[in-house]
Amino acid sequence: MNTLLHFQLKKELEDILGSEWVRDADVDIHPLIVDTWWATRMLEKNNLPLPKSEFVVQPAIAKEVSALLRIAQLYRIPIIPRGGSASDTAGSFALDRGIVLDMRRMNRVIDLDTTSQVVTVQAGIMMSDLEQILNAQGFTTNHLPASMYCSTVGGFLSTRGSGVLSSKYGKIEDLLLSAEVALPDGSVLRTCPVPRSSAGPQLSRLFVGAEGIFGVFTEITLQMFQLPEKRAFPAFAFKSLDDAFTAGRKIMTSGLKPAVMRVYDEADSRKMVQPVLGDVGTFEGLLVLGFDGTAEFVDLEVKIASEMCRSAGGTSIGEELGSKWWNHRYDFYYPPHTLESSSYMYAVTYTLARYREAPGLYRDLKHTLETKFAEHELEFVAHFSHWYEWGMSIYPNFIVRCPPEDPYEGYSLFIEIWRTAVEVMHRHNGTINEHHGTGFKLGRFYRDLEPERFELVRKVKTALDPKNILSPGMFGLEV
Amino acid sequence: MNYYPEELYHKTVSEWRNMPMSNYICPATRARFFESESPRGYAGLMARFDSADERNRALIEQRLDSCSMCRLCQFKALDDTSIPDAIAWFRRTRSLNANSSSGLKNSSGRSDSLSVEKEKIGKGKSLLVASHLLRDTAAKQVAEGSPALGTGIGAILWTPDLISLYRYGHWTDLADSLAKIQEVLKQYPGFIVPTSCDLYHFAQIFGFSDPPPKTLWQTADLCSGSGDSQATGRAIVVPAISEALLKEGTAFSSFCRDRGYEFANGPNDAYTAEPKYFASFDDPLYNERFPEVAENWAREIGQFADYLKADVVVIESPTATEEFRRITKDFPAKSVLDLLQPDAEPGRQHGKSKGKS
Repeated sequence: MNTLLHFQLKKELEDILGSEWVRDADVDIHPLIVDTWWATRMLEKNNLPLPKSEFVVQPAIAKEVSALLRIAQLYRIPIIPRGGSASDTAGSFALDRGIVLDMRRMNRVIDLDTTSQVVTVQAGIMMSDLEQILNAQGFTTNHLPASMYCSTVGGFLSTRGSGVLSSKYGKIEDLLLSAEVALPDGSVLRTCPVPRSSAGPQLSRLFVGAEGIFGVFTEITLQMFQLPEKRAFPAFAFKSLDDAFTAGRKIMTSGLKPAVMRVYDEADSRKMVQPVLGDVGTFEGLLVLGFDGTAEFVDLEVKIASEMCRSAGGTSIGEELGSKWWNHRYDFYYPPHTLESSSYMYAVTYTLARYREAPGLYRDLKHTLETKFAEHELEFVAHFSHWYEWGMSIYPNFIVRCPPEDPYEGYSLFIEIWRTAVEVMHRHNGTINEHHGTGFKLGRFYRDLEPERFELVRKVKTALDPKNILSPGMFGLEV
Repeated sequence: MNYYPEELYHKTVSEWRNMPMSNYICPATRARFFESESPRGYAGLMARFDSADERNRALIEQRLDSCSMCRLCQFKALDDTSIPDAIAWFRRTRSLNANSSSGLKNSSGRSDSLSVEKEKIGKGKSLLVASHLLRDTAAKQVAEGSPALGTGIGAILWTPDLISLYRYGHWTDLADSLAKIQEVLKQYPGFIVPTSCDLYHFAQIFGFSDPPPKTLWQTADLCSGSGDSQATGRAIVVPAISEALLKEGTAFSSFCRDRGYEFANGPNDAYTAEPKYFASFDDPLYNERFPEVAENWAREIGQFADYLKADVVVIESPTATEEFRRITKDFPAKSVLDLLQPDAEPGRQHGKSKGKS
């Protein structure tokens, strides 16, 4: 953009927001070029240019978001909504110039309906802040992922985020009642105030998992829950991973509602869990369960679930390990434990499949990656952390401790590992991802492996946003 | 003393560059929302400094000024890295004026302009420089000390105190602190010059609209612009804070006491953040670790006191008091008082010192 246009656009942005909330200095733009994706760190470390926006702006209300979108249409400049930038898929990058719409100033609780147990917030509120506010009133969303400290409610909805209590309370989308969304043309849509209406499609779902390409969440209404009277975290060791899978599946399909259901394979226990929690023993499968609710009900659920684990070959290792896990569940994501602070090439090749296919998918994925990339000494660790009545997610990390020094060689290797992984997933009816979104990083696989769905998404995108203003380049769409 | 080795600086920048998990706790980030004013952003800017041109280097230093050194991000680190210490190391070794005797803060000419602009400022006020160690004794000592010192109290609440109490659920301590500040404000017609943490904190507690908080120097710039020692305008709402404390402080204090520890962390979030001990608790001026940084901090405080025509600078530890006296010899008009022990001789260890770890 030439200087004349840049100045004119800047003035128009300042007229909307005030000069305090519009920045275009390199020092304010540069920090936006990384998220938690390995590739961005690698490129920056090599002093290679990364995609940069021209502006970063901070709206406070929906009306300002709407005005910004109208301006962006006139100037044909992309708008990239951004929450806490915890993405590992380049989901909030201005790939080819643009205005980063930092939503974190939109952080108000608008309504707290304790009668219906419903809370309405601005989309930019950090999940941890919302939890703190709700906890003070005796409530919780029960959406507690590690990234709650660096992600906004709007960000979670845009990527279908999932928390550690998802087995009972579902993903963020399961909490959604209604939303207000600023559309690419600047108009504002308010969806039906409650779900379950049969008057037309549930439009709020159009924007869930859409990563901001159809509209910008400005206001969100979520279900909330009463804080539990008790939590309990029994843990079991299994001689085989399949036994742990069987125990987990039987519990999830029995009508019991464990809030936490996590299985770690041996490598994950040793390499990821042990550094944080200390020596947890050597097991082929480690299962941590969590139950919450009234004390009497929790005790009963623990008793029944424990019986089911024992009948599947599990050995109780008490509640100490599980409680320790709960109390340190976020430590995995702080230095020095988080892989995001390491020099390794790594990624989470998460996927989701039915119980019938998931064990085979896991074994195939582990074998294929370890074999095909043996010369790079690829390490594969996995846990299984989000369970449903019909299937479970597989959360594998691949780690290459000594990636190629040449940046393109490294990038190429990274993409090849991912391509191999998603092809295995696809073969077993697994999804490309489970709860981190698709973004730019995985967009090409969505385009290649799910062409019919991609084509429909493209048509909807074209209808809503013909100038491709909002978050270009996601899902394999035009940059 | 090489408290923060170079290797640790590089490790810090590397580890925190892609690590967003502590941004939420940073008062500057929470108040101003820009990534360039966050722990992750600070790491990125320090990494970028060497390749930046001179204009952007100066801007990088300005952004780093937003770090209030409250160390809350360090509370969340599980290793020995620390963004505030890395910034201090950066200022000592890397910044544009790292080797200049004129001080680190002169990089953008603010100190020089300040000495000129200060003449525009009117009212004489005493200046209280408070930190986390003050909360048990502040009201009493100020009450005893201030009549002898003359005029009312103008308070800079140094940042690690209230915000860390707030974030880590020490509600009773927070209530006590607010009650004592309230007592001081009732007794003396002073004002609070909020730094970013404080204003954010007050806004959180009292539900103010969120004016962008300012760093010490930005506050000074605003004072300069307003022609009054109480800054006005969108950025600083000093009288409102004082009034809120006077009106609502008592109610809030009892509210805090009733709620107890679980209010902040919440029974839903059993992740207990154990308060960590930092060497800076004993050496708030950083003198033993970074004499140059200490010198410039003290100089900044001294200049700020001068700027506001303060009569007194009150510091909580004899060690810091001694250093402050030594460093701020350019400000002979200032009285310096150790708030914990007003009669203490400089250099004498006070009872609260935990010693170096």
